[in-house]
Amino acid sequence: MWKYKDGRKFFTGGKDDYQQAATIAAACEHFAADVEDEWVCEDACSCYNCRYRRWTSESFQCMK
Amino acid sequence: MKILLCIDDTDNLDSIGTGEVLQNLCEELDKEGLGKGGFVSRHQLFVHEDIPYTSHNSSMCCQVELESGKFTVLLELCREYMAGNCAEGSDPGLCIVLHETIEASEKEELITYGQAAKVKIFTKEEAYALAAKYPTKVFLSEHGGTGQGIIGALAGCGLRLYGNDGRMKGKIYPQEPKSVQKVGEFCAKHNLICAMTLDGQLIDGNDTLIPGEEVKAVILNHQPTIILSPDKEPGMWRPADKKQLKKY
Repeated sequence: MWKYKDGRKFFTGGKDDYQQAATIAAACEHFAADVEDEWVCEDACSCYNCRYRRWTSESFQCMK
Repeated sequence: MKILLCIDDTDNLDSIGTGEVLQNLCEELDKEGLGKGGFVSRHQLFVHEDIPYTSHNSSMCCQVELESGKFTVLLELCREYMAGNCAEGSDPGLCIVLHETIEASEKEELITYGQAAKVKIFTKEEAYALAAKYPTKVFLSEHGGTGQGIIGALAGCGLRLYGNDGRMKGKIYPQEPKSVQKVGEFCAKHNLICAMTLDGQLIDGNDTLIPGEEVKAVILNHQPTIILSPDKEPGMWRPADKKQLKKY
């Protein structure tokens, strides 16, 4: 689910694992939806739509 | 006269987004009688670990219909607004292009820069060097932090000049989301220039559409356009979902 590098936390599911991103967000106390213009999927509650995700070339970094 | 106004890197993880900052700035311009802003477009730039963006590296751009003789005042107001309304810790940049005055070759140069900023890293110096070539047509300025936002602000103007990049800020909320409607009528009602398939084919205005609760438009041929996916029957369509629109 996550890999850690230099003290940072990266999602291992890439950019298209919508199911896992939604499952993690549903259980995350830090989840907060980003502005709608930055949403990339229909699931309102998804790490992919969270304001605390920072996109990387392969996936995203969780900032929380 | 029409101008392009683009901003980047105005936010932090907890602030309002850059698109909202731009909309607020446009409201200010309108209130002061300086110009009226059109739709706001979002342009995705290069996602790379070495670029210090907040979370997604996108810039926001809109066209403004400038009141005659008001450019200097508008420029000053935009710069003051940026200096006072961007989030703590952000690195805001502003770019204004007088795009009705630029030559075709100059336009091409800005477009090339914008497209390159989607796939490679630029420095501030490179952005300033390009803007400096056209000092009476391209106005680039930084307003706090590292000022790195100028790179994306200039790129956003280039991509808006290109006319086939980005999504429109906000959504369309159809009044009758579940009813079958003609594609052409839907487009006319919502100021969309046309409807296209995911692979870029124009959809006949007499085809039908069930719009659903929300519709997102993209920018194609300089105009707001909807992208549709085939529904169950031939000639029947539904809006593409967010996953399908990621490439815009």
